[in-house]
Amino acid sequence: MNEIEKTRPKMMSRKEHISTLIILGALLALIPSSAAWAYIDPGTGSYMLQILLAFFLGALFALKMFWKNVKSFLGHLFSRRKKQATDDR
Amino acid sequence: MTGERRVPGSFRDPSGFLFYREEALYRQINRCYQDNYDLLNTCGLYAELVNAGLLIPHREVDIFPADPASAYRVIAPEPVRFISYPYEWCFSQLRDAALTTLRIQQIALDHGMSLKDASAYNIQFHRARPVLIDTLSFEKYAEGRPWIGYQQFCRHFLAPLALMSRTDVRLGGLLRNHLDGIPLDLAARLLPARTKLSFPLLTHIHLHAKSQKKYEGRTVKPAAGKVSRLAMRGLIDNLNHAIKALRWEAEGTEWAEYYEDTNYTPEGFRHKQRLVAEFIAASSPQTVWDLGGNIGIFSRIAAENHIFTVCFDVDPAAVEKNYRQCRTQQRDNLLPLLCDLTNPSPGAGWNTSERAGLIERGPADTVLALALIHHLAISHNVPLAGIAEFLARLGRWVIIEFVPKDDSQVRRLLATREDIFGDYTQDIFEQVFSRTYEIIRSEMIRESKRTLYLLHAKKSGET
Repeated sequence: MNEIEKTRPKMMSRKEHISTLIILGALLALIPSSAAWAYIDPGTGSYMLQILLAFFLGALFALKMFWKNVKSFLGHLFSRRKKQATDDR
Repeated sequence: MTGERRVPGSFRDPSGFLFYREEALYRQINRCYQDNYDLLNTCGLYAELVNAGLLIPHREVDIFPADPASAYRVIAPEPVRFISYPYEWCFSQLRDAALTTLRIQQIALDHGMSLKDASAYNIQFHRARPVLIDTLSFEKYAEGRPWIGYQQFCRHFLAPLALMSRTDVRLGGLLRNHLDGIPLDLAARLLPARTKLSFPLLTHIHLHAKSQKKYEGRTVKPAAGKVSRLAMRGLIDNLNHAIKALRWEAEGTEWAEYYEDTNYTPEGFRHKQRLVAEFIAASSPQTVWDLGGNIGIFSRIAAENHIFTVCFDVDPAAVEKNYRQCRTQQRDNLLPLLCDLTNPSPGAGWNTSERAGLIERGPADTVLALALIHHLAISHNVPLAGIAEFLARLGRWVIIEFVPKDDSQVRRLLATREDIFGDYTQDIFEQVFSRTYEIIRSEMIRESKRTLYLLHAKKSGET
């Protein structure tokens, strides 16, 4: 069953309809389901945007964390070498 | 006030509600929230947030619940001295509240929980810091579930801050009309086109508004999508950057530069400060409201004497300067707020009681009305009797400065308009205010034409 239900008929061009179905189909095929019930309405448009956006932002965040760790590791390494060189002197 | 009553704004979330009993504030936690409340305590999130000053502390109390049929626990949260609303905050107050919300969400995720809402009304300024006051805002984090508060965060925080920063700071006032935050399509229309070049504003506001329009009238089933924990962290991190990138500098307005353009001599100004200190001490208040308090110079006289003080001003730049100074000085008993005294915050929201009006949040013990009366009487045509009546609703003690017509500031106000203010004299001021108040002290301020009065409201029936 299609995960998106129309509650109000809306005119949509054939091209728009196909592209929407492709995007959503791709998304839904990739994304496992999880329950979401809340006392506030998350809003359908907000919900869909968040899913798309978070995917990219998550990847960027992973890169950021990786780079932070590399910098921290290198910083630690150089400071140790520097300390060792100072101690050797 | 005696007996018991529910807090009018506490009804949306079925997890519990706030109520007053014999003047003390309690929060009932309902059984449907039991698992999340227990998790909040056992996972260490409550302790970490309270220790970091991010969540209001509470103690569990053994009292009869307000609604025993649904009750799990009753807690007594630490009282907040003055409840303020986002439409009364300056730019930095709203920005700090936004960053606090995101920091709480980051810490909650570390403990396997998540904020289930992101309402700006859940944040209050307590001991000079923004804190979350809704203990029931947390739920167990379900792996893959998107952040339910995302839309609310964008409407309550990001959209108004973007508008204040990139369009006009006065647009923060839209929050008074839109209690559930500024609609994103409206924000997108009001923001300059160049904000589309900013990735966070492009996505979280412009594309967000378009996405809302695209899916308008459709529902998404709970199974529609997944946001991994990493993706959620990426989203929160990006929102954090978006908020931090928004800035506004408080400069150049008439009022923010007010003290650089007064007609007091240094001796006159020192004398006024001394008199205000004496009059405040004579009224021995626990709370002071400083009306038209500008950047809070006279508010600080009260605050430095350990009196909780709220400083109201109409100018966003003056409130901003005051707030930043309070933050730097860690002044924990002075709260600067925006308020147009000719149009103070009314009761708003459901049944006009969800958000209390200014007067309902009083009275204060002592009200300061310094260099204010001429603006109300002459700039805004408010009759002296109307001013006396208004002040009497705000506090029993009033410290008021009468500024006569031959004062240079009043002459400036009258320079471009007809003088229709025949009743604006010191004699008539005293006659009118004597109907409501007893004049306890009055002193001319040295090297000025102004007089400072200490007034105490008469008991009703006493004339």
